Amino acid sequence: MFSVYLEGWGASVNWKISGSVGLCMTKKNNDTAPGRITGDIHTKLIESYDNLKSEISRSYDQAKIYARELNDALKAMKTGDGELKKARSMMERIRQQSLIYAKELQLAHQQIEKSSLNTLEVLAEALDARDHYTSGHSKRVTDFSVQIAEIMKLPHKEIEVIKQAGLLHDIGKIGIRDEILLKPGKLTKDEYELIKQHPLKGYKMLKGLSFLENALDCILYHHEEFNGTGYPEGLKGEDIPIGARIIHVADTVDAMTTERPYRKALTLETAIDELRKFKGVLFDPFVVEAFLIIQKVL
Amino acid sequence: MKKILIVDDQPEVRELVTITLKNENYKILEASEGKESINIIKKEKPDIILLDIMLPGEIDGFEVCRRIREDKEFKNIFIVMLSSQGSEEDIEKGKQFGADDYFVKPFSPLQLIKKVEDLLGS
Repeated sequence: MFSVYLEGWGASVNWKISGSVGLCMTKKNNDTAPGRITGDIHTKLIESYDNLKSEISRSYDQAKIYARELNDALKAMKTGDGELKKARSMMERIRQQSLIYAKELQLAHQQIEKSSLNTLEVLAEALDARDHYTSGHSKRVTDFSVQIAEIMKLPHKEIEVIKQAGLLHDIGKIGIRDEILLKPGKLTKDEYELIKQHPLKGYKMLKGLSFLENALDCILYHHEEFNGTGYPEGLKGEDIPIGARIIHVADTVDAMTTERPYRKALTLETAIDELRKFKGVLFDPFVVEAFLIIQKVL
Repeated sequence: MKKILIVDDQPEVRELVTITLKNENYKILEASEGKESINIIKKEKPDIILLDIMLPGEIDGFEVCRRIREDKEFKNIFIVMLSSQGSEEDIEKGKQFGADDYFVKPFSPLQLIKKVEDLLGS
């Protein structure tokens, strides 16, 4: 009689073999001497039990090894899972923190853009205030120009540049003496030449301010004519930047429709007639058309 | 130059704080755990400590705070606790250990700049 006790994960198995199995077999077999046969079978049985026993014992050892390995793997998984969870929550916290940074950066960027535009508006107002005849001129030219640019479907960035350039297109006039700039009568040729320097003066004044970089050319060329008869360089057609071509039209319209020391304000209709007359000559035809669309006369 | 020590085990948080305060002309010191932070505090005597509560190792943020407040030499150092949970308990405990203020993570960089300016200005 023997028993093998298996343990592992809490399960147990009992093996109990009694001598009665052998006795039962002897009765059925009448041809041979019962004692001997019983003995043989007994020996064989014991042999096979022994084999079984060692086999079970081997399996048991094997099972124990597997159990240990499984246990280790489970432990590793648990640790790994914990680490993963920790890393994940850490990453989530960093993500939240970065989002706040991004949001505040964006706000700061918007604020800078807004305050730099406000600065330009103040500059333009200061210029316009010097001469009551031109009061509000820079702002109106800017509004006209932006409307034209929007009708022409220029990209948003280009429109922002036009806004800057519109506000500052006459800023070079700051450098022109009152006697000339505010002279009520007709200008002499030399005086007119001095006035004509204002685009270049403005350009030179603002050069070096990186946020106005793209507006500089529009300021420099806003008195160029489409047929090449303008100043300062006599550029022609599409060699003149689109922003400058737009501001040129807006500038001319506003100049015509406001009172000057030497003449009364012309009506908008007269100004529109002039634009039509010089469309493709002094003015970019597409810009003129865009303006006419805004005025609902096209 | 005023010195600010940031104690946090997450290098990303230390980097963000450093970036935030870099423009303001402060010297930024960093520590990733409690023991290291105490050594730096003794050596450098920072003006402000931004102190995370949860730190790896034997000494957490509360303990760092307690030890610093024990020493009269460091009584003028401002201690701002950084708490991930922002639980009332943590905040109350921080105060008991002698922290001057607390910040809940994730924090606003603009508010952090302002807080540092306020503390150094007073």
